[in-house]
Amino acid sequence: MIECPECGATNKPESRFCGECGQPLGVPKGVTCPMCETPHAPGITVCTECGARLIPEGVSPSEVPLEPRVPGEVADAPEEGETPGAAEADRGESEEIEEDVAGEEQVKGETMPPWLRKLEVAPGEEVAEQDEDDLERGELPDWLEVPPDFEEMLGEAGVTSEEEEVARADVPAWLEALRPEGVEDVAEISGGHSPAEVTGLLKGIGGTLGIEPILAIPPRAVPVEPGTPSSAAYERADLLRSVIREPARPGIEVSDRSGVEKLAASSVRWMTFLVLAVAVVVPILLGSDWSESNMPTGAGTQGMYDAIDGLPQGAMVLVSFDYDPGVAGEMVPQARVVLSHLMGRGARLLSVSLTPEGARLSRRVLEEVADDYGYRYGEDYLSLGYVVGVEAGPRSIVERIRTPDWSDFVGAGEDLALIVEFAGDPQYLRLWLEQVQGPYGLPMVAGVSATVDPFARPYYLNRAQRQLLGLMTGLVGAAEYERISGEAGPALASMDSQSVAHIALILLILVGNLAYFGNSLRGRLGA
Amino acid sequence: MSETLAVWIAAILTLMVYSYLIGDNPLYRLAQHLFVGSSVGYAAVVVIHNVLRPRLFEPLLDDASGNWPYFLPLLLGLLLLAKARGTAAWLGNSSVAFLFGVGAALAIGGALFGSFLPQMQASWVSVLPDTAGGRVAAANNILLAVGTIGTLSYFYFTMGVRKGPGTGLLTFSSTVGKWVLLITFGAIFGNRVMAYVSLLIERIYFLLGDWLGLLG
Amino acid sequence: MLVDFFFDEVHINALGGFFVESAVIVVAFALLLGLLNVLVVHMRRISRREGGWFYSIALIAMAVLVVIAGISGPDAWAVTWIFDHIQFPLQAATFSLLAFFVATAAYRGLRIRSLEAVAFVVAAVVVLIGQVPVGRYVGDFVPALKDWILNVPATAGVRGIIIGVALGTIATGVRVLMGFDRPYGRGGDGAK
Repeated sequence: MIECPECGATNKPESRFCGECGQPLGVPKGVTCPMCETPHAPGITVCTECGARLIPEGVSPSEVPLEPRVPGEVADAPEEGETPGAAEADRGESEEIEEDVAGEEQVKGETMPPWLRKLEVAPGEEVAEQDEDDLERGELPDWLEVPPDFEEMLGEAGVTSEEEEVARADVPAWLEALRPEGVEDVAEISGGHSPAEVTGLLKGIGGTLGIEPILAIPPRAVPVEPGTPSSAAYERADLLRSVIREPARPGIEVSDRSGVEKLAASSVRWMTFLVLAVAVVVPILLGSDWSESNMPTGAGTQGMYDAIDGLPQGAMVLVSFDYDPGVAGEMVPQARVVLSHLMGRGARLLSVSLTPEGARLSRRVLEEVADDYGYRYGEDYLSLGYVVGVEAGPRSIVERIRTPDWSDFVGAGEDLALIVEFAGDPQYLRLWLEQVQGPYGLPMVAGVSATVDPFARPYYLNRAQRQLLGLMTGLVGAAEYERISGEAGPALASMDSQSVAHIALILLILVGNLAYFGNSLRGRLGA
Repeated sequence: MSETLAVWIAAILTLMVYSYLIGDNPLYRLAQHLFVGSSVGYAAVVVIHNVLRPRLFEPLLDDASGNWPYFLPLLLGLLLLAKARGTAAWLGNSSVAFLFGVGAALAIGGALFGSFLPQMQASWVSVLPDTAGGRVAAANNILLAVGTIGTLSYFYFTMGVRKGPGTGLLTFSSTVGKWVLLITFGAIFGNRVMAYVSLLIERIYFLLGDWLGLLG
Repeated sequence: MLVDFFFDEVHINALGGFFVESAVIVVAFALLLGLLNVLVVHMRRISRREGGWFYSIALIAMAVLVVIAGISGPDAWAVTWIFDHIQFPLQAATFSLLAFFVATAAYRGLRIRSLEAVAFVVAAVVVLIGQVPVGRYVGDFVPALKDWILNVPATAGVRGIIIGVALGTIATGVRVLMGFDRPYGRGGDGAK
């Protein structure tokens, strides 16, 4: 990735202009082949066009990675499992492993840079041992010693020795006195004293400090006794080697289930789907209506019915449709039967919704039922539309309604007689309860989806506070309401299907458990 | 068979969704994307027309000088939209802060007066047969109270166990709570099943009745 | 706002009312932001040809279509038509799918492996059978048992949950207002 020098944005390597600011990017540095003049990215050592070398011999381009040593060309390459000898002590274990890893693959000789190749020892040759072992302490090795005719060599090379360019300092008299006569042959040193200086101002003077041998000769690495690794260490080394040598595996393989098993699993799935579908469809097709005569009624639904039935003629009721098409299957029958009841009682309705879809869904139901009862929009019922489904929403609705002169619909000093809430989700019910019913103390009833029922019950059962006067649950609740009000509708007609489906599901639970226990029993008997 | 195009379209879309029973497939995916697109568009339309227009645009357009306070929410709202662009997102921080402030206050008030206190009071019910309305009711009230306390102590016990006096009572109480919660979740599950079955029934009525016309 | 809750004074009421109105407006903008985000994500997917970008085209096309149709308002004929015959069936069908998966869960997932599972399964079965008319046909005790389960243990459990959640809400709200929690970005002005 290339960073733009103007704006700093990152760009793809081959870009020539910055994608963000449009400034031209410099052509990335690289090497142009001297033969065929093809540009190359940095790091390439051989021209891809003509094969010429792009970098001079002996120079190591920093990008070229180290190649592993070619096995077999290195002397004393240990065979697997052989005891590493003292000669290999200097080479780290990592090198050994590298060789072994590369052992399977042949590394081409030409990929190795020349300077590295020089370091390789041809097989059979012994590694030249250093002369260092023979040195006494204090002696300089040959290549470090200054040759006696050093100055002549300098003169021949045309390099003037340093002291002529430096201002000659005055050598103090007492030091001069130390200088022996015949200063030319200082190679012969008197006595066993420290050697005299051979060049420079102090030429010939002995007794000066010699080059401290410790500084001159780099300390030789003390060879570490390899010792004998324990057998446990060998095992671990072997284990490590075998782990590294294993080819990469793609990952844990999922055990392939046998074809029969797969068929069995998917057929179970299909069976359950089929059972449910049949349980739902058959009663509908048969048009059975057993439930219509045998529908029990629950206390919650009865409470809701009573609350609405007790409304005075022309009471103002706020109806909130807080559900979405997902649960409409349950809620629309509820809304329909309750609205019928409300309109039958002559209540004036204000409809609102905390969900965007609820506004449309409510309109559909309202218009449908209003036609039956001759309700006129604007006079008998009004739609306030959608308000956001957070705490502020219900609050703002009620505050609006109570604002004087807000609308002709609300009479002077008139307040809401009842709040009817259709909740598809517990949060909407909670919003109305917490933001409106609690603070303003208004009577409230709710029809909820069956998923909401467990969360609504505590409010309904709150006898002390009378938070909910009635609670209607799901399609079953709608059927109960239809039964109580004597108006048979789609909810009641669905009850047979619902009953059969429930029974089917209970059977599925039973059969599932039997199968499970049967299997485990069989397993235990077989073991 | 229905003659209406609309019914046919609705039926085909329903079946496309049901194709998921066979497995994830392009038809189902297409149906889901259409649904999301439609609901996004619809929600936008409703929000703009039912909330913003009557509550913001109209007051400002009608009487900008008299309704000047409305410029504040307008400004906050526009700043909030800046959060769509990562670089300018910081502009919307004040709006979020405002929302959190109002929301937190309303939530606190609501939770306190609408849920917490009433429910606590409801739990503080009579355990005497006379005032409760019968022996059964009294027994139930006791069970209710014990169950509620048990549930609360179950959460407390699992969240942060503290060694101390009365640990035995706490353990007993949280065990009670555990069993109460098991029954609660079983009941929740049963209700859910009921809800989903009802939804399926409604769709089947549509397919068999409105679309295929098989029902009388 | 909190002051408004506790006191009933005209000016505070008015200010509180204004804040509530403003919050409604700003939340509306927040919703728009969320919708915008969905569109941006899918447009990006189309431009980058990421997996499934073809479906994203359908999504964006649908959204644009609805918005254009709804320029005059959500009661426009085109918008209601799309809602009634496209969005409604799609959403209703998606949720009704869950019934099938609940069926497989009933078969496979409700294995009674422990005593605790017994309590769970028994409660679920009683509710299932008790809610429908067939339950009463089996015996009057069935709906009664269902009612008891829903009214006593389930209510106790949910009440405990509600109280716990209410306490948490109060605590979090106080924390936000006091500035201990800053969910709205660094260096915010602090909610007032």
